[in-house]
Amino acid sequence: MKKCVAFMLAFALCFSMASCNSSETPDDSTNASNAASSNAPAAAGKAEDGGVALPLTDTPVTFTYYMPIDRTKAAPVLTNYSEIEGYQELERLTGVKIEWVHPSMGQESEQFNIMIASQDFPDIIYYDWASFQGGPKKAIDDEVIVRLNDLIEENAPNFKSKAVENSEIAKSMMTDEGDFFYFPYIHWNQLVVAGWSYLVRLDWLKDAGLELPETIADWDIMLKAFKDKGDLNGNGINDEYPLTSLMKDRDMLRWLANAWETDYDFYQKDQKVQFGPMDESFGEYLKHMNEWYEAGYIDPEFSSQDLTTYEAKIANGQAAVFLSGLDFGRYLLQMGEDAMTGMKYPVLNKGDKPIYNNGSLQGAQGQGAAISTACKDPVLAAKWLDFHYGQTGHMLLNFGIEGKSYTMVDGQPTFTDEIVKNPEGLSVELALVKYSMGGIAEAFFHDPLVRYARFGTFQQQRDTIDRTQDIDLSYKLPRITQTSEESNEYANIVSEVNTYLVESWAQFINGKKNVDADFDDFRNTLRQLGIERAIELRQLALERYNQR
Amino acid sequence: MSGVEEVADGKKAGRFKKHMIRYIYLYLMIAPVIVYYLIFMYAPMFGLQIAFKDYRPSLGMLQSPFVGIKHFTAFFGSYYFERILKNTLLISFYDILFGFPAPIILALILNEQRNALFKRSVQTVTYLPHFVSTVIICGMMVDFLSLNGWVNAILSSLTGRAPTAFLQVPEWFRGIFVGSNIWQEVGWGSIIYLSALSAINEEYYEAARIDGASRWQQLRHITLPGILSTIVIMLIMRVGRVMNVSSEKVLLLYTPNTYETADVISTFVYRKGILESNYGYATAVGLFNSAVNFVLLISVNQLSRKVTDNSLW
Repeated sequence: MKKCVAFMLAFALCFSMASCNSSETPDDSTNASNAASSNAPAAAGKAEDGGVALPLTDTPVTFTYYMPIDRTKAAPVLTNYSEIEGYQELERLTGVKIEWVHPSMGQESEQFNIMIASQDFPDIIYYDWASFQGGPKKAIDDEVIVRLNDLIEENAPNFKSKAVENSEIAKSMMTDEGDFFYFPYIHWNQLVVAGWSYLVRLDWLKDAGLELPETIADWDIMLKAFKDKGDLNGNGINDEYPLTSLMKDRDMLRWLANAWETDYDFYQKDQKVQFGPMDESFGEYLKHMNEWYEAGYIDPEFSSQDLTTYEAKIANGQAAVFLSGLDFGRYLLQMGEDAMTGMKYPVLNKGDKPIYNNGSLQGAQGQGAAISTACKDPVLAAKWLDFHYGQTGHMLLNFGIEGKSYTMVDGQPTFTDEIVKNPEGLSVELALVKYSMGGIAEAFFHDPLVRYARFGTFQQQRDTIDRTQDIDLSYKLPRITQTSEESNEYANIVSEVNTYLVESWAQFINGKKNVDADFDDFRNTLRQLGIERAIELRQLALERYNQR
Repeated sequence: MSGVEEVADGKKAGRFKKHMIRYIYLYLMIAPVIVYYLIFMYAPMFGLQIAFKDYRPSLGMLQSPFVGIKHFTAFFGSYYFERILKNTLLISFYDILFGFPAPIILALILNEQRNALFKRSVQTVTYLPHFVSTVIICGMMVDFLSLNGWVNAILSSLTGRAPTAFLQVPEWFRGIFVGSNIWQEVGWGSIIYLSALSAINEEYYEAARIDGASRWQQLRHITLPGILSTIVIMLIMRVGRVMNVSSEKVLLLYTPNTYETADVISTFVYRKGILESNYGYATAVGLFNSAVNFVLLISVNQLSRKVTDNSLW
């Protein structure tokens, strides 16, 4: 209860700050005029916004904007982002028309690479720039996108005051050389720290007479109980798995390595970069997973099924434990309000603080909109993107249209029933995407309230947030980047390592490889593939990051 | 002196003109094919140079820095080189061993059928899968072979053993790959043999029957020799594609569990080139692939010319 009150307080606090133009960050560094203009109420932003005259252009201009359509949070209800009313309003206010270029779903990385190779760029490109081959610096050097430092200085007052002048955010979004190169999706949120949770079917757990598990030993008992029960969903066939997982996307089995204080990938410990699979404890973890597999707890299709099959298993009641984003309200809508809940991240010893190495960190994480070298009018593009960070843009992109998707209650934006209790039974994200990008991501400052609304519709979701707030995030590596020279070497090592790792990992779990017999071999092969050099390169990148 | 040449040229030109007027429609008919080959087969060869370069899109092919055989040494030294080469060759080997004779056998069986309706319906049914896209074929395979698929359902009801996730077992991969290839292509592949069979003169069979040859003997001494040249030509062309294992199909069917038998050169090129945008490296691997194919094609052709008197050229 106490926790709950504290939570609400924090919530209210964040809220009041958010409503005065989310200025929780740049206060001390902005000059007076800037602060004054950015505190202008939303309603005044019709003809002028944060000191920027509207419309941004007198003659209509059309920009092409490359961005993948979100598969789960947009694709089910729309086919083009121009259908979003927030953007239509944005177009009306700024005079800038956007022609969206959406790659085919499932082909995003191929189409992006082909676009880069063909040198045929749209005006604005939304991408995870931290994962650009060779790093963002190479994207600038190769003349894919333009360096933004001067453009921001002269044409992006909102972005400058909110992001550039906040040292933490600035650090997360610049290159090692100090270049700015994109308008990121900025996540700045203490309300909901972890975005993902291990869910369990609460009804089945209660049937088994068990409490929510905390340690791996508790998990052993829980999974055994599910396995012994057999026909959990009562359809007469033994088609349930105590635990299901995916290889990419919802790779719960990999994440569980965190319980053994290691990780499936690179992580940091006392400022030193480590590669989880080289750890002794990684062997312990694999051994335990193999025990689960042998006992029949793990869905044997864990390394081959796709997201659709996985989601179907959850919705059809064929899985008891699985990983999901905190937006699991969409399952609750279908399956009942108490069908499932999030567990604490498991630990080995009761009372330990769980390590969580998977959610996104605060700040900019690489996702964002960059202006390409093909853009005819980079100044206007920068102004248009900057508008996203101003008060009007912030409200449009996060909350949508006032009176339709939200109303102001006591000076706070509150979603309408159409969004939170959708008559057609749509989840918050899907109801919201008709009006705004709040459920997804684009170049803007994500409002914590939107995230809370998305993740806090049902009591079980709010409880899950409560349970997963107290976590150790220190193992997570920030979005560090290799230099152009290092990146080729690094990419070659990592691509070979990953191919080897992904198949060995699956083999250790399904018993084709044995930890006692093969784990040393496995680590030797990783060494042979150059993992130590890769760790070294990551270490250099981390040091550069810390010195930004 | 120059006058003589002019006259000769004029004659030649006149003859050329006549020739063109006479055959213009034939040339028009072949023109699209020539254009196709020029654009899609010869023009891209210009791009092969990036196999020796550190290709950067912004610099273009000509300006990218030259790195010599760096990509080739990297590939031959790669941890996966042996494995993907072995997998490629093995899959192709099995595909030739089982997949190559299958349409011949089907054609022979159909040829022996005297019931035209039956013959035609079998033909239609067997070549239908050829028109179904690979993506769908693979989707069907995944479905059929999954734990809840009908293959497992039948097997476990017959033998009572627990279902196997076939696509997760490395040992099964080649069988599934080659088997589904046969299923998809057997009918289509048999068409060319059926047409070769229909070209055999009926009189041979008549004479053989009068001499008292059994059907089996007719098959061995008339039918097979009759289509031998077609078989050899098809085999030479097939061997020329030994290193090309359909990347789409492997990509759609493999999982990390089956990499050890399923990862082939073409999927490696796909990962390197399209996913990691390491274009130079991927081109080098592709070039190596084509070079091996080329050498194989030439040598099989030579061999066949010596042994059977049949060859492509």
